[in-house]
Amino acid sequence: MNHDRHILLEIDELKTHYHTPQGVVKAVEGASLKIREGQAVGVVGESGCGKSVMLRSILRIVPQPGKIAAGTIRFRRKNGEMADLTAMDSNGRAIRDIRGGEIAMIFQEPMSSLSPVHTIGDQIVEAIQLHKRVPAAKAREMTIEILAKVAMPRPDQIIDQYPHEISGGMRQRAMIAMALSCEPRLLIADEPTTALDVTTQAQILALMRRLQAEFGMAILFVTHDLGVVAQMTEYVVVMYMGQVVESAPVDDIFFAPRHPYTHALLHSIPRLGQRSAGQRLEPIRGTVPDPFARPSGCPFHTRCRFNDGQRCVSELPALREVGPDHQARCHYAETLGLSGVAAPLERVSA
Amino acid sequence: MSSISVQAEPILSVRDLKKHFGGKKTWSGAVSKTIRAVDGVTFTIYEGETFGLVGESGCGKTTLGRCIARALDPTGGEVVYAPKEGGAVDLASLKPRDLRPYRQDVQMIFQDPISSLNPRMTLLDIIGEPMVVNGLARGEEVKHRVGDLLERVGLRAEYMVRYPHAFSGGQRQRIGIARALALNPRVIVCDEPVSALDVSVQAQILNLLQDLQAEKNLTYLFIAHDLGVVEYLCDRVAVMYVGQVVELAETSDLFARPLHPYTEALMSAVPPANPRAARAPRLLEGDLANAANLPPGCHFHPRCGYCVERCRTEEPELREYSPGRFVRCHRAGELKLDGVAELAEADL
Repeated sequence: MNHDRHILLEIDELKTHYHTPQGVVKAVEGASLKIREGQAVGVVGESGCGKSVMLRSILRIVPQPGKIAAGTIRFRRKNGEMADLTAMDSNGRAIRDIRGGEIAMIFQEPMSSLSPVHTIGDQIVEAIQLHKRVPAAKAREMTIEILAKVAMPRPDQIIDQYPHEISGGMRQRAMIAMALSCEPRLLIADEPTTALDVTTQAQILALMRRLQAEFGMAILFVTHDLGVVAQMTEYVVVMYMGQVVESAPVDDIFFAPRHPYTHALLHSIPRLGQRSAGQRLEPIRGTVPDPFARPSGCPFHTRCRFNDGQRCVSELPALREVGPDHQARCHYAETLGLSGVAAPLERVSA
Repeated sequence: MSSISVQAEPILSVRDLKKHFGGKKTWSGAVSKTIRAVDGVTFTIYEGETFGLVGESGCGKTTLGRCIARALDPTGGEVVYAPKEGGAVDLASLKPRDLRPYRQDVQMIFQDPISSLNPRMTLLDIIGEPMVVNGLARGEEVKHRVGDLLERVGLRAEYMVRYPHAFSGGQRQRIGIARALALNPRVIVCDEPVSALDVSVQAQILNLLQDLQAEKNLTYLFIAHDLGVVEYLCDRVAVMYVGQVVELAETSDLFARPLHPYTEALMSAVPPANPRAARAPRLLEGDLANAANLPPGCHFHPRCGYCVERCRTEEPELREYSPGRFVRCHRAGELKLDGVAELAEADL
């Protein structure tokens, strides 16, 4: 990781809780991460691990009855000042300037996040005019330009079409165009390719990589697909039950994981070329615990192969430094001797 | 899993199967466009094997699976089934009443474990009802059998009084599997059974499917879009593109040396779970062809990097390239396409 770059966003011990009639759901329970300018950071975790709530906390769009209970989210504004987003009024001027203007977000399902009753062009023009004082004709020109940048075919025609008239891959391009229209410095991508077919996914990932280089923006990339993480990010944060369990440079996550959950994820997924190795999958036993009944001690102990039955059950491990730029939340991080994925050549030689 | 033995008998032979939608008069008198969802598919599934069907959304793989299980009525073609007692019946043309004895033999597992279970029925009703309807068990016997099945799929027998909402996604998929097993089927059509599940649960379900197959000598038609899962589980694989099979081969052959450019593109598009691999996918241009308005010649030609003049005008046939290997491409064999090994080497 390049330490010369400024820190753009720093989440520190964030807690976002949902107060429901059945009890409190601690969706995010002490999550910390850092993103430097221009860096691509991946967040990995299964459904219910709190990754989406964490993202929504950044933009202060946590749906009711969710509330940020503790922690800070510090973001470097365009003028260089570090602002705490958690202290802002969630409907105030400041956060509205940041949303779309400085931090943009793209969602998993482009069909449900685009308005079905407005044309692609109208939606992008609106975003531009919210943040920049430009006349309508100029905004339209800028829209066509940005659509061309995301390699949209026939941008001058697509601009007047509705989302249902174009394909899923094109809708995702339109959404990326909208997100980029105000040149954000941080792009939050919440499972941006999960709803797409692999060949379309490959197109969108290639596009995002090119745009990141071109615009120099940082990307917070949320996904459960380890292939996407490996190809798109420099640094990875693994989440489980609202907490960061491991964070490390992408190479360490894949070749020297220190947390049993990371290790288990790497080994439970069939990967192309693995069959010839003749291995049976090693599933993670059990399921993600009920959010109303968080396990005591380490939240992963109920599913962990290395559970010692004592300390793991009673004491919550701290997220601590286990290597350069590498943190893990496990009492035994250094001593388990976990293996990463094998080198590609060994994997496929049959 | 071992590859199929030489003695294996065909259990399902799909011949020129077609399913077209539309093409009917609408209220205004206009005729709607015909969508050729499945357009002349032919393959044979052998007893005890796992036959994979891969392709992107809209390629017709789900429609094909449903036609085979007769959840949909095919427009044309045959699905010849070999019952246990011998002989052969065409499931595609049987009348509903005559089909009934064979319905037990071909069951389905669905993608979405939430919408495929009736929220108002207990597990006992969900899994037990097919047994009662088909006269396999009555009264207390149903409870015993349901309890056994629940335990077999990794749930507790006491759960039979509960409703589906009380279970997680992975558990619900286990319930769906128990229901499919209730009638002692011989063939199970698995339509994307793990794609809606969390990654940590996927492996549990895949391993369960493998164990059940070994135990009960089941035959699977496994429909999926995840190539990693297909490579892991299937003995043979058919690749579909807009309603047609474009390539069919044993799994190891297909992944080692694809013969159709679409197969190569699909494999190269999967991002490798290895940060040291810098794969340049063979990016396809544009989107899947429109099944209501197919391009002339080879349906894949507008997106194919190896397209020549012949591909634009003449539609290729699915031909047997070598024993057991089928491909629908004029240039099969003359092209040197990359398999997973070459793709991985290019990574280094």
